[in-house]
Amino acid sequence: MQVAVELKHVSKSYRRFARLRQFKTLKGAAVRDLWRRPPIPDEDKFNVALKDVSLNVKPGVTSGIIGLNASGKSTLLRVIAGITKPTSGSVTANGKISTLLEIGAGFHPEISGRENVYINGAILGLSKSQIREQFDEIVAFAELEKFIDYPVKTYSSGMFMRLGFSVAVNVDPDILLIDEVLAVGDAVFAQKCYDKMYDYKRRGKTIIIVSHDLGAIRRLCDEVAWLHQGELMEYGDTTRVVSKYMQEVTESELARYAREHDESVESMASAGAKAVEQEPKLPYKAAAPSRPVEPAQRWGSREIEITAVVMRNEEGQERYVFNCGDTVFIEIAYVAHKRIEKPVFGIGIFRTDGTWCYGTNTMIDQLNLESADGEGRIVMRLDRLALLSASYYLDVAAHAENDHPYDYLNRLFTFAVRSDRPEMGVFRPDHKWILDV
Amino acid sequence: MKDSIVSIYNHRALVQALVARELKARYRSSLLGFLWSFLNPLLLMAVYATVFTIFLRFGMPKYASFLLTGLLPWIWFASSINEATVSIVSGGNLIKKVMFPAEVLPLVSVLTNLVHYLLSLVILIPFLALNGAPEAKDVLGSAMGDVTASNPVWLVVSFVLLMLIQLIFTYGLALALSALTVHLRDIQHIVVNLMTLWFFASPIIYPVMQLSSKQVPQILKSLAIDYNPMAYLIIAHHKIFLCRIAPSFAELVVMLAASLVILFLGYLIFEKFRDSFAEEV
Repeated sequence: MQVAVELKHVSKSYRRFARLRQFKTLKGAAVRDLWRRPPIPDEDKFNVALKDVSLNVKPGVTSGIIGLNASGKSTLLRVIAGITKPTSGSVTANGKISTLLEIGAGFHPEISGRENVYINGAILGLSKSQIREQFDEIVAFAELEKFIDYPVKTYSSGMFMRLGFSVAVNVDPDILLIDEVLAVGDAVFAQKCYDKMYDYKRRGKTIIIVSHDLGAIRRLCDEVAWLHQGELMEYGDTTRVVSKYMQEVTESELARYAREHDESVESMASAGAKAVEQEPKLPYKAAAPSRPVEPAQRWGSREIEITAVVMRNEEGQERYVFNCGDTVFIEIAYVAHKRIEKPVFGIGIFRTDGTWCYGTNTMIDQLNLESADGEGRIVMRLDRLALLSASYYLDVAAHAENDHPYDYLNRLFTFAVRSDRPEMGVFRPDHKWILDV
Repeated sequence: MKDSIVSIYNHRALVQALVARELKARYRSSLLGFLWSFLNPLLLMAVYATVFTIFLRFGMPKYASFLLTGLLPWIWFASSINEATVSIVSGGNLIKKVMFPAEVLPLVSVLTNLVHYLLSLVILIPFLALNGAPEAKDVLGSAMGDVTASNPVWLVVSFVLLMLIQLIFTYGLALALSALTVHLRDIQHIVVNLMTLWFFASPIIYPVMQLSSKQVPQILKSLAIDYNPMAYLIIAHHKIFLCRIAPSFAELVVMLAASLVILFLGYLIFEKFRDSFAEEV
């Protein structure tokens, strides 16, 4: 057996409208006939999910499928599983296929976990005697010995997922197709799920995994297929394809953040125009917000006006996506409409969930500015942006030493930090591990 | 067609598990549990018997026996069709997420209700024994009055065949309706109301000669009797249970052939739409 799964020029398009005269309801059909609207042009009738995909998966190989949302990943799995037929092209699979596309398919809440194991097993293609043989193992894996005779509706969602996962992984297929349900439950159970996958790998099963979790893809997969808008961009060695994909994603993200920044600059201008009529709002030194504040707020008396905020990387290029540890410059351009003594400039960094990650100003840092008059520019250099992977808001402010705000830009700017390490928390302190033997 | 039969046979464990699921789930968490399978037909019969012996009188002796005999197979049929019509739409996650032979879903609806029907027979037979049956001339009209009772073994055999015929017919219709509903959801609402009309058009609450004796237009009469498969089935039930007359061999063959034609047509419609289920549900 040379191939486990072979796809030859597979294309798949979905109808956007129901097949029966493209109307979902009789009413729709009647209305259409009454008004004799022009028919929908052919190209609008279909969503193309897969375009001419050819792929050979060798037996015993674990393959990952990656790509942005709506790139055709799930469709590809369904076509391989035979759940849907390709519009054109052919699919061959050698061996018994099992799918893990949904946890607990066919579970009925009213009946006991025990009975549901049998039903779910039958749905997944196990015979009664096969389930009976593996029953204890399934229940032990799910750690539900005490609850197996209670109705499933009394289970917590974690228990439900564990039971569904246990049945599914105890089906013994040649080819296992997984859609985003690699691991369920708490950290301990998730590790068991991964161990089960490694076990499958050891036993020479062919596994195809769709996931957005690139870390898991890296750990599990030998080869990776990258889909983009239904087309197969790359198929091959995991490290190579994943890093190519990451590069592509980062570039498109860069473009997005640059666009958002431009929009912020525009809204900064319009927010500024409004602020003139408004009373100066709260003094800015309010307590740290515990939840995200509406973005795009600006206040202050405007003796000093912030005219531009730009973030740059070490090479001085404008950037809004950084890697953890990058050197970052935050450039604040301002105009002082009259001479201002002892101005203070500050920044604040907030995670989008509202966590205040860092805040400082020139006074705290004991950079005592004498005065500001006319146009000027102040730059803050962060030697190492030690924040972990997330999206952030940047606050920028100019105010007096007594906290009187001249210009406060609240949540107007966003940037993102990417990291290839799955660390937890807010920031990465400088650290190393020392083995003490 | 052969593939489909093989597929259903191969998935018999699945069919069995799903029927068991439906049966177990239906009365789970209710105080009386499975007793409801017996209580439901009893209560229903009590309701109909009250209505048709007190408010609307047909003047037939032992009317309750007549009513129950026709009502039970009808309930099997009607509940199966109503449930099967939406079976594929509501089984969407199975169709979409698991490799699942879709024809199993309407079959599960039909078989689940068959089990309820079999259980309700446990009520029917003692009830007929206790309450007694109306005379054959009241049930079938005077023309049929003097036929002698059939051999009990043939009576049982023909009843089993009759159930098989109804199973085939119901499943055929269920296949077509379940597949069409996926594409045109309106059908489920139409079906529910058509079933009510069909119920009153079939000789369940009134004996069949009621139609011939009254001023009923000929076309409606033939629609209700001659072209109504359920009328044949229900009259056959009346004959077996009330008059102890087995349907003739020829009658059974014709009914079987007709139900197989319906099954085949239903299968063709189902096959035509099968590939689109995973996309449309």
